[in-house]
Amino acid sequence: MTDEQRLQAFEARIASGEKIESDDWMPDLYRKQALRLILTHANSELMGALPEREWIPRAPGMHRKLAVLAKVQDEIGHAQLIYRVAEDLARPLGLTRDDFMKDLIAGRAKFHNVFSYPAPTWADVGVIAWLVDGAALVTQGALLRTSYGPYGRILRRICAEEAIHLKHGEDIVLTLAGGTKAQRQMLQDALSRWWEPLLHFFGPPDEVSPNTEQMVRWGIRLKSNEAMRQEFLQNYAPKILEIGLLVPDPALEKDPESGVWHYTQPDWDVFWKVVRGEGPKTKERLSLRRLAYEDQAWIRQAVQGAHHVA
Amino acid sequence: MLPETAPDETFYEVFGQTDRGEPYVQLGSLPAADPEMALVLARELFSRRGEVISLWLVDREAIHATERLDGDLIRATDRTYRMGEGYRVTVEKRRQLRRVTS
Amino acid sequence: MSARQPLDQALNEALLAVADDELVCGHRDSEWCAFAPMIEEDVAFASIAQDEMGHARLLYRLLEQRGQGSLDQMAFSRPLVGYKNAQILERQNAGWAQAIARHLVYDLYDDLLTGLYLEACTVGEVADIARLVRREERYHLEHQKTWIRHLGQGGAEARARMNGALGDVLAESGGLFEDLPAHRALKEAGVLPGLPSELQPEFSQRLAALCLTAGLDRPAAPSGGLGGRLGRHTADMEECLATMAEVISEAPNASW
Repeated sequence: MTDEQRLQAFEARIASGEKIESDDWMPDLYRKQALRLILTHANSELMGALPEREWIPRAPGMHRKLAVLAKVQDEIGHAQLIYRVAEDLARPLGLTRDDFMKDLIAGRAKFHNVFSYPAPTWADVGVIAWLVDGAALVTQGALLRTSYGPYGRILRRICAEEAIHLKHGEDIVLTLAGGTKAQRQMLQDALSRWWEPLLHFFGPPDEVSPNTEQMVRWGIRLKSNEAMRQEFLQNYAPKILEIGLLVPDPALEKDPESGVWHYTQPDWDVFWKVVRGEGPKTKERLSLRRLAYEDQAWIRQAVQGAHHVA
Repeated sequence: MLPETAPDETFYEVFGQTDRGEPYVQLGSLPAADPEMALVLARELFSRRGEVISLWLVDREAIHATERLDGDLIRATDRTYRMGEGYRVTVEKRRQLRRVTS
Repeated sequence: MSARQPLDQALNEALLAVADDELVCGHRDSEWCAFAPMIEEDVAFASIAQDEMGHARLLYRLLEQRGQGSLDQMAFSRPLVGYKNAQILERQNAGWAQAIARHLVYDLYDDLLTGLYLEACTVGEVADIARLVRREERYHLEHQKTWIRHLGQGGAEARARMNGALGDVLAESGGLFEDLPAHRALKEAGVLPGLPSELQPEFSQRLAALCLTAGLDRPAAPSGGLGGRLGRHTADMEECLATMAEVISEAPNASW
């Protein structure tokens, strides 16, 4: 079969809804695009553990302490599942997890913007688990039918666990909302802080890059940024307003006829700055990862070399 | 066929059983230095909520797989005589026979 | 006044020591979250942290039923001198070799404490909790054994680090085996079968056997780090409590 025929057969399979497996023939570009998307997701799960982990030792009460630890543990478990998918996909390119880690700590790899922001109070833990995970569930839910089979399979488990995280986060938020004046203020401040990163979460509305088109055509990605942002607003904005919180955007409103949510565009220059690695906490968090990686080189050596030592 | 593994790593494919009598289902995989370490880690990776009652770990090298694209497992000729749908007419035959004999 | 009252008090004290050990151990474990070596290990170690804190929760709940205050108040809001954990468990994390060495020491101790001591308690609720705790501790021991074997046999550097960490930890672990007057009273009354200090020979024997298999030096007997059971603690414990109570103390009577 020529490459042209293979490509046609490949595209026909995708068009008929068939899934691609790690050992199937695939165009080089498909492999690279899928890998980029999947690695960004894996890196995000790993880096996403950092803002919340700061609050595990401080969590108020035994139930919260256990719950937030379990939640962060789940995120790291998700990173494990996704890195494994990425490793298998990257093997023909000669890349291993160690390469992924080196790229990440050197600032060469992408992870989601939202994990470059600080989490200065306990209320941030609630807002992150409810709304950031809520936003993540929208994007991950949209990927469940991705054409890359191994990714779609693990996303099912990941989405199920994210749904539990939402409850954990919503419970923290509702408790603070019904708490003392100071607790309510802490919650309001956290929401106001996270509103712009949440709108940024899905990316700019007018994304039209050849890359994106190709990824949609090959079924790696399935929904547009704006469609996902609308889904998020539709799911969460009413719930936020219902508990008496203020959204820092006077223009936020649902068009009663079209059902479309209107909102003030966030500052997209800020978005691109964070994408370039200039987020408020990007460098600090990457350097934490780098230090751990370097400090623990002796352990990897001891464990990985173990079966070569007689 | 599964992707080749780097020589100094062993990858284990993990299968779990959700209840007695249920089949083992693939859950994921992990690299580990030896089976003992793999078991200790897999327990937490794949059953944090007690989702499974038992795990199987299989060294990936030990898996022998068929080709998927060539469709060895998809039968080329008609096999309806061994499927339920091949016998839909049977019900009708009984009805007809009953009409004749009554 | 019934004759049981001083004994009830003694049992509360002994249980509080166990609960505080589990809490502080789990808290230090949880500080590893996201930074354990290898992603797979990170997930495993976070489970161990939850198990330990879960054990603490069981014991504080029992103490709550025995009229000793509320769970969260006991766990988060006592004065420093009220905590009865052994000092070795409160010390700040200092690398993976220390984490594994300390956990191995604690898990071996805890396995003996629950198996030989608390499971034999004449108070049914205590024996029940001990059995539950021990089931999970068995997995922890398996985990720690696997690690010391890999590090003990993982080349000169890993072996040296592991030997060093075990030595340091044991030189502060005497406090685990410290007897309180309460322990003696409970033994005399037959509520518990012995004293924590009597577990030490068996502990040392088992640890020596594990070190031998792992290719590590013959371990010293646990010593030092005394006074924790009596409420004497290091500066690390002050930091630990300040951290744990940071949020809850902003509004101690509020719901969080």
